Formats: sequence, structure tokens, C-alpha cells
Amino acid sequence: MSRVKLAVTRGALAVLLLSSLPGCGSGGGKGLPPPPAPVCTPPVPQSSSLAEYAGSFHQRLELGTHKVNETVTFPVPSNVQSVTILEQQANADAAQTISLPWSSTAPNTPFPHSIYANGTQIFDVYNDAINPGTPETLRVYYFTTAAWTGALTIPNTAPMLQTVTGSPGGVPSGTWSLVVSDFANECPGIQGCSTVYAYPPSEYDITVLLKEGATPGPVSASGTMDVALYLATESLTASSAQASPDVQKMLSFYGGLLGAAGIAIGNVTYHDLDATLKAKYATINGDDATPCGDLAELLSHSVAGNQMNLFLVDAITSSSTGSATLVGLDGTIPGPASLGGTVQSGAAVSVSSLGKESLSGACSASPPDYYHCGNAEVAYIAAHETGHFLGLYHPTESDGTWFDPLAGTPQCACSSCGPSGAQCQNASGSVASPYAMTGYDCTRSTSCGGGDYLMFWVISAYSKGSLSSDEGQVMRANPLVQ
Amino acid sequence: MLTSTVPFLLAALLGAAPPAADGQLRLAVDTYLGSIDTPISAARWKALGPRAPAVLSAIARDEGDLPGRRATAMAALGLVGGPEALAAARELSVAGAPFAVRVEAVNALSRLVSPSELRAALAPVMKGAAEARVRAVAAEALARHAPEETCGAVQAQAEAEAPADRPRYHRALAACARR
Repeated sequence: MSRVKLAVTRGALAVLLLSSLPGCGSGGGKGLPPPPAPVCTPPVPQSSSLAEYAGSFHQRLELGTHKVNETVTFPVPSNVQSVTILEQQANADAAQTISLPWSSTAPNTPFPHSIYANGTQIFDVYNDAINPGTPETLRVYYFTTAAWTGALTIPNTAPMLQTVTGSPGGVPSGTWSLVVSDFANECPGIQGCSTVYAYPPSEYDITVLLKEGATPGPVSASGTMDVALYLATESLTASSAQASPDVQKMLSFYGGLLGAAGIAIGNVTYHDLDATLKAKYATINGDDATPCGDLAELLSHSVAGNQMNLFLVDAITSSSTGSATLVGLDGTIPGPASLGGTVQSGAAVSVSSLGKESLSGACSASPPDYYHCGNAEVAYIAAHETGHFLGLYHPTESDGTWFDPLAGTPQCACSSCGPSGAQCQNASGSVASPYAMTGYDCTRSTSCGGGDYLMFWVISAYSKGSLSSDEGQVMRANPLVQ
Repeated sequence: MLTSTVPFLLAALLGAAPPAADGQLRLAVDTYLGSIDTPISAARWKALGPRAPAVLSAIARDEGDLPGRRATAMAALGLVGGPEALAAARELSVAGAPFAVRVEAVNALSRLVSPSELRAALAPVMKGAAEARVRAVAAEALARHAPEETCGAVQAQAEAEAPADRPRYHRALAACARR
């Protein structure tokens, strides 16, 4: 995922928390000028493909289109392992971005304002959408920005995983409800926030996916996930990729990494993009996180189906002055499982290092050498982005002050794991170049861990692709895993 | 004593060198270059100090290193600046470097060369590079950073391309349209 986006979200949601105003905006933007014509027309809501799986225990609840601030209810039976809420913008004229005082723009991200399970509030955007700090008490977590299309799979925190694995097991049953919202709707409650123009209120197509077991209980211990490879790169076609030893070796590494979570790779399909799309998006610019950006446009060419869509590109660049090139980029955390053709339906992975090795014999090493073998590195990046799509955050973010909401995943705090004299980020985030946690820092001891984990923010000589039990459960709870 | 020894033993067990005092810079550079999807701010790169460009330049030029890592090092040089960065950008923007590295060398040039000099630096790449995709990258850099009048040359180049290659110029033409 783009960490630029995440940083914006943190700031926005931190202010949301600090603000005394409730999120009661209508999105109407009284007094603001009318909006200009949108830069592009993003895709209309797509249909979930989940029901196409015969013999599985799933429900797909299509709950219709709802404006922000409307309450949507749905039943959750007693045997449900996970609940996934999919929100797709249905108002083509709605705001695509909002303007924040500390950042020029942020994508207008859909998210529930609140979620209730059988009368008990389990999510509140003011309290549960920032870094928890205390994962022991957080029941649902949401912390990403993703314009136009959003997703949330529950369980994704330590307490809810305990509920699911405990007695009677499964997520809380009964009548669930959520209040539809997005950044533009919450904007009046965010200090300094503006939608700039008087956009009409957003309307979201709401689909809920219930992943069920035969009986109440924990998330299944294993599962299968289909993968679709899209050859945006100009160095491969669908047919050459299938015949390429490097691609096949990369897929083998990829399967090994996901296997640590109990996930087997199912069908792998290969998709050529047409010549015009290849010419436009073999190299993508990662700066624009709006629904009209390169990544959104690329991901919207994913086909219908319940598979992990990986777009292989030649390079991911940045034209802004404040960042540098990236090797992986996903739409949102989690991704909209079972929805093809949305602006968030997958991830982009650079294949610039495919077929190369920087240390002789690295690609024959066991365990895999993700740092020196290009095929292994590309697989690692693809698996990392897949982890995001399935709902995982970085266990420790780069500055060592933000952590994922899982209790069983190692943390690596700058204050205690950074070297002596490290200039750690402070609570207000005002350190311009805070110390960045290294793989070395975060593999030093049991209290400074996570540097070898798949979801650590860095791939390094310390990378092993490790996953905690909690992380595995979150991944398998996603409806992408069957 | 124990607390200072254990990390090095663990690092040795992991097969990676512990960060000696003079290796802190290298460790920081390696960490930043290993970022998967977290952009590293210009402030962070610059805070690595005056020896960073030499380390980054060596990585960007290292034909034995992975292209993705070399490309990221080249992009970082565009942010930290300095004579070594400019030399590497000029060297790697021409034929021979892997595509990903070349893209970042062209982008780095657009940050390292003044707007008035950028046309002279990149117009030959836009017009003369053998690969259409490299020509398009140079066109985009010119469209974003060179003086506005350069957009005429960018548009002319897009029109001179074969129809199949014109879509490569969508970002360049969009950047010109916004100016």
C-alpha cells in the first residue's frame, strides 16, 4: 500500500479523534462553489463473484445503494467466520478527494461511521480508525485510504480473533448495522478539512459477504486462493509468462510465502492487457491515489472473479519531490475481495528484478534468499501486497511508533529498539526525518521483533517471510481465501 | 556487555553483518532501498548526510545489483542532489542501463538540472532514445519540469511517434495540459 496515503490517513483520523465535532456532515458543502467536471469517470459498482463458488458456505448480501449517514442492517447467522463489508461509490458526481490542511489532497475514502453487532457497538470511526496502541481492546480496526471503493473484513484485531476462536465461536451473531460514511461526509468534523467544492453526498453500493463454517468456530486452518497475473509489463505476455522459468519460479516462491499462512495457490490465470494499456501502464506513476490515478486505472482492468489480481509492471515511479520509486503498490487494506473491475481490485508489482540475482547462487539458496534473488524478491513483494489485500498492516511502520492491531505479531518500537541516539518520531509527528526501523533493529530480541516478517515495511537480508498465527487467521478470514 | 553483544551474535546467526559504527550509513541506505511500499521522504534521504550520494551512486552504477534496487538508488540520488548524483543521472540516462534504472535517471535529471537547462539535457533522450518507452519518460519529465514552451516539442514528439506508441505520452500530454 502507498504509505503516503497511510500517512495522510493517520493525520486525518488523528484530528478526527481530537475534534469535538461529530461526523455529521451532509457532504453538501454549503457556501462552496459547484464542483468542476470530474477528471475521469471511475467504474460503476461491480457485482461480487463470490456466489460463483459452488458448494461453499457463503452468503452474499446485496444491500443496495445508500447515501452517507444512512443505516444499513443485515443478519449474521451463528456460524460466520468473517464478515466483509464492500462499499462502492455509486454517485459519479461525488467528491473524489478532500483537501486537508497538512496535505494537498486525500482520496475520499469510504468507511463505516460505526458498526453495531446485535446492539453492541464494535466500531466507531473516532476511536477505532487510528493506531490502536492497545490491540487488547480494539474490536475492529480500519486504517487506510482508498478512493471510490472500500472494504473491511472482520475479524482483523486480536480481541475479535479471540471471539471468533472462543466459545461459541465465530463473529457475534444477530442483527448487524452500519452507518455509511466517507471522508467527505466526515469533513465538517475534521479541523481544517474542506471538500473545496459543493459536491453532492456520496452514495455507496453496499455488499456484505459472510464466510461461514459448517458450525460456529474459528477461521479455517487452511484454504486456497486463486491468482490472476496481468502482464502490463512489456517484457512478458500471457503466453511467455506461462513458459518463463523465472515467472514460474517466482510463483513457486510466492506460493511458499503464502503457504506459511495455510494458503495454497489455486488456479493461476494469465491476462494480457491490450497494446494501448500496456503502452500507458507498463510504467505507472504511484503518486496519484485518486480514482483517476494510474494505479486505479490499471486495477480497474481486472476481470470479474474471486482472485488476487496482481498487475506486473516494469516500474513504479514518483514524480513528486518528496518520495522515491517503489516496488509494490496496493489499492487498499483490505482489498475488495471478489470484486473485479474496481479502482482497488488488486495490486501492482514491479518485475524489474525478475530473472536477476545479485549474489551468485542466490536463486538456488534454501531457505530462499529474498534479498539477492530477483525472482524471490518479486515474489516477496507480491506476497507482501497480497498480505495487504487480505487485510494485514505493517507490524511496525517505518518510524517505529505505529503498529498493527494484532497482539500476536511482534512490535519494534523506536524508543526501545532503535539505536542509542536515534531521533524517534514524536507524538505530534513533527520530526521531519525520524529514524527508520531496520531489519537489524527488529530482529535483535524477542522484544524487538518483526524485522523478518513478510509484512515488515522493508525487504532486507533479515527477511524470512514470517507470519504470526494472528496474521494467518486474518488472511484466511478474507473471502478471497476459499 | 551482554546487551551489546547479543545483537551482533544474533546478526551473525542470521548471516548478515552487524552494523559497525561506520556501517550505520550503509544500513540506513539498505533499509531505505528495501522499502516495499513506503515512500521515503526527501528529508529522510537528505538526513543521511554528505556521504550518502557516494554510497547511492555506487549502488545505482553496480551492474551486479538487482535493477529494482539500482533504480531506487538512482531515484534517491535525484532527491539528495549534488555532483555525484548529477554525474550518475547523466551516465545512466543513456543506453545500457536497465529500463527501470534509466527511468529513474531521467526523472533524477529533471530534479537535478535547472528547468532552463532541462531541455538541453533531455530533449536528445526524448528524440533519440532507441526505445519508445524511454522517449516517453523523457517527454514526461520535460512536460512536468521544463519551461512551458517545451510542451510544443513534447506534443510534436508524441505526434511523430507510431500510433501504437502514442499512448505512452498520456502523462506527458496531461502534464502539459495542466500548465
